[in-house]
Amino acid sequence: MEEHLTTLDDILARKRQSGDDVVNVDEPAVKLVFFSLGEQWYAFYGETIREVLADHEVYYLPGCPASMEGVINVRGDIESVIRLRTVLGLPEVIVAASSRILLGCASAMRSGIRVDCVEEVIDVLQSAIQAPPHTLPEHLRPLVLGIVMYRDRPVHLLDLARIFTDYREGLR
Amino acid sequence: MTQTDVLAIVSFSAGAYRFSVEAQQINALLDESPEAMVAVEDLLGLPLVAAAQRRCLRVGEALIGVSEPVELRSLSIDQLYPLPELVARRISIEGVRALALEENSVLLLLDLRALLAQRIASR
Repeated sequence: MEEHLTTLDDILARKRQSGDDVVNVDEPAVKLVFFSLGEQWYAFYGETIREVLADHEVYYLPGCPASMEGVINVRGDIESVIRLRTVLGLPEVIVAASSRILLGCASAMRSGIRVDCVEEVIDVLQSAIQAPPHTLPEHLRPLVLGIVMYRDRPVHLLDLARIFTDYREGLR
Repeated sequence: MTQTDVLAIVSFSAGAYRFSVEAQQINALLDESPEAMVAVEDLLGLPLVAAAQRRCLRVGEALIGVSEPVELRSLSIDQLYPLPELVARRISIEGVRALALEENSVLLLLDLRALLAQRIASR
């Protein structure tokens, strides 16, 4: 048999290619909304996010915690806006033009959620969501449902229902 | 617009903020500051702004001190909203029942009668 000299890079590239060609049509996929807070990327299940809002005027409310930015008027409905940075214990930054408000709904609660930037909304195979690592900071552990790799970065998939419930109870 | 489309309110300042109460809860507006007067800031848990000129609202038998400007006016029902759930659970000011959107700000509507009843019950 004639031998064809090749390289390891070539072999690995071909293996990857053949792996990509195999699509399991039965495997369930979920829609995820990817967003960033600084350098770190996060995601919510798409079913929990009703809208992505830009340039909405936020009305300040006295007597609320710093994590509550205020309220917004969404076509006649008043919704609260919480700062996810503060809820997750990240430092505050000035709201930039790229910032968005995700209108979330979970556990029969609804609220706007301020994020730095919405990166993408895509379908991801359920199997691509891995269990959260044990190295997660303790305060994040109850909130992270899993980790998904996206564009070579680990993305924390957050539990919006838990965030709302904890927030309502004053735990965050 | 018919009469049922508006809510008569009395708005006033307390601490550094503007609040309002349904006008039907207010029996009188007095210029004096009787000794028995309770500062509304005490009821709401807000710091008193010392320099503000004071007026006295009579709510039932109670006399409540508020800061100027005190206005009797009306709000369209389209401006009035219940508190979103997370706000209702986390707001530290007591007795807030609803909010009204104005041009560039939010006006909180208080239930002074309920606040007073609560205070009496806690004694």
